[in-house]
Amino acid sequence: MLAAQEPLVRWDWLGSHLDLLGERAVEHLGLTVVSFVLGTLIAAVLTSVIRRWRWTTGPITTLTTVLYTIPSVALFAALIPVFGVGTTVPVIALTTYSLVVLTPFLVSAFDQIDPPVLDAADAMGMTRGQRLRSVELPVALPSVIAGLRVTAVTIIGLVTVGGLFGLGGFGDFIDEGLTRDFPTLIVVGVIGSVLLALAADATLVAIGHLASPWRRPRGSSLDAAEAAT
Amino acid sequence: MSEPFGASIEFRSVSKSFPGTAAPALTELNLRIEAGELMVLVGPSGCGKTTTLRLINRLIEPTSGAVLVDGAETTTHAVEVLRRDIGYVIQHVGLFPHRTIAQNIATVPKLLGWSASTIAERVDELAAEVGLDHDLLRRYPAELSGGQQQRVGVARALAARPRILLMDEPFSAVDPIVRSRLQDELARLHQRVGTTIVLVTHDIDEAVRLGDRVAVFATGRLAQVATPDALMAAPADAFVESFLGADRSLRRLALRTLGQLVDRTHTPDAASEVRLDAGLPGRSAVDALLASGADRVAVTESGRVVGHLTLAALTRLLATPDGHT
Ligand SMILES: Nc1ncnc2c1ncn2[C@@H]1O[C@H](COP(=O)(O)OP(=O)(O)O)[C@@H](O)[C@H]1O
Ligand SMILES: [Mg+2]
Repeated sequence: MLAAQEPLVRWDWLGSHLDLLGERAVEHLGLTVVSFVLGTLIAAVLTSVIRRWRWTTGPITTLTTVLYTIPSVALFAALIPVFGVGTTVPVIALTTYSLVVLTPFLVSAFDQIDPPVLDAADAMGMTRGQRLRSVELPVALPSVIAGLRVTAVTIIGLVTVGGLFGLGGFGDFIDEGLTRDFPTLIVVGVIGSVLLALAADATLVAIGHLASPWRRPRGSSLDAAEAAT
Repeated sequence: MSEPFGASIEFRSVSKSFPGTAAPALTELNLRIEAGELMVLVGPSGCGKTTTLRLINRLIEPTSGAVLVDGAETTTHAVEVLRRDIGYVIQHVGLFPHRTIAQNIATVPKLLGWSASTIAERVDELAAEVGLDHDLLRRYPAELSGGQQQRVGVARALAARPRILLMDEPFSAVDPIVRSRLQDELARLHQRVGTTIVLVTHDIDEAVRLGDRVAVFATGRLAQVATPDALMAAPADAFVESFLGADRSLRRLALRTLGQLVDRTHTPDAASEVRLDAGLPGRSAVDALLASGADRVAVTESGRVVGHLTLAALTRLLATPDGHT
């Protein structure tokens, strides 16, 4: 275990390794963003399939649930021999997890739309595309954002796990810290990924807030500003 | 009042069966609704009123038969084109929660590509038309009361001056006082705008109060179409009679004012008679007769007695099919 005299954080190490810190952060963020975007795109496709052909709900849900029960460590371990150590393995694994997490959120986000609202959109002569763009997407957005937040935070955590398999990111620090008995690296890895998760979450909250003014209670700062002008 | 510019609607042997259901929702419906008319579809729950209404704007397609608007089958043009000329108001309003009231009202004009300034003008005009406070235009639907939301629903449906307005139980979710006010406003709006209105309700009082004509539906079939007065004077069958209720004589009297019923040929003699204003509904005479035990009431206009009504005279009036003297 850790040597007793070793301090939890060696600040001098931190100061002299800022570039490495940045490099790991970029790796972590890069893996996250790529698999988040891919996962979201596939989840969107699956969601529209489910919405168009309701009978596909069962098979798709079963498939995603089965995938979800595979432990991340096992999935990484299974894929590495096939694809080798590179970005392919983490991207496949992380994309899979994001679509598994996100798809049910997306389906329920659209199912929650009040049916009379859709009825009204049709009755007013909107085409399918107009209804999707100007009614369904904006109305479902708050629930979509909620799903994206869970997904983003989940992926960031999983990238950390991937680090244990030498896939880069903040998990690399933890892996190295454990092997070298160097607590500073472990602390840096853990705190780094937590901060990244918080930042991603806050970003999504902000986007949701800006894009859904109708969900804001009256008397918020924006209204006050509007009233003042 | 402007010339009615509404469109006529015609159902030709329209039947509708929903997949997976045993009995058809609608069987061989034949019904013509005149341009500018306010037609009320009334009947017990599940009898096919909503189905009939949604056949007009093709939210439902018929299994057989044809629906015509202004003489042309509704399938002639793209469904979006048809719908943009037909306003639609439903009980649950279905306002777009993410759009301001002004944006909600502007929906169809925007789809039709009106200019921003024309739309803004029209929104202001409609807000005034349906009695919406101008300040509410910048708000979101969730910030409005049920009655206000219903007004927005009507304004949104009328925005592009559709020639037909379809209303499905538009007032059943608001409290009775607001409902009564909205009904009055709708009647005035119909007078002013001249749009053909088809209104669905399960409330016979609402039907006879608003309808130029009333179509009574029994399960999947049309039982009778008539003016409110003719309907209550002569129900076509036992179903219509029971649906109208045991108090149809009183309902008929409620459709007329005392001024329309009064016998002006006799000047009342006794000064102590019960006096009622000519503007009151006919049934208030019955109430006064029952309450006072008198055999006649005097009817006044601007405080001056113009004639009288006896129970015998009211009975005679109700015996005539058209209720006129
Ligand atoms: N989409 C549908 N699928 C199956 N049955 C339906 C559907 N819509 C209506 N029905 C049935 O058709 C009948 C008439 O319904 P509806 O027109 O809504 O009645 P109303 O509006 O008079 O209450 C009812 O028995 C109803 O259950
Ligand atoms: Mg109905």
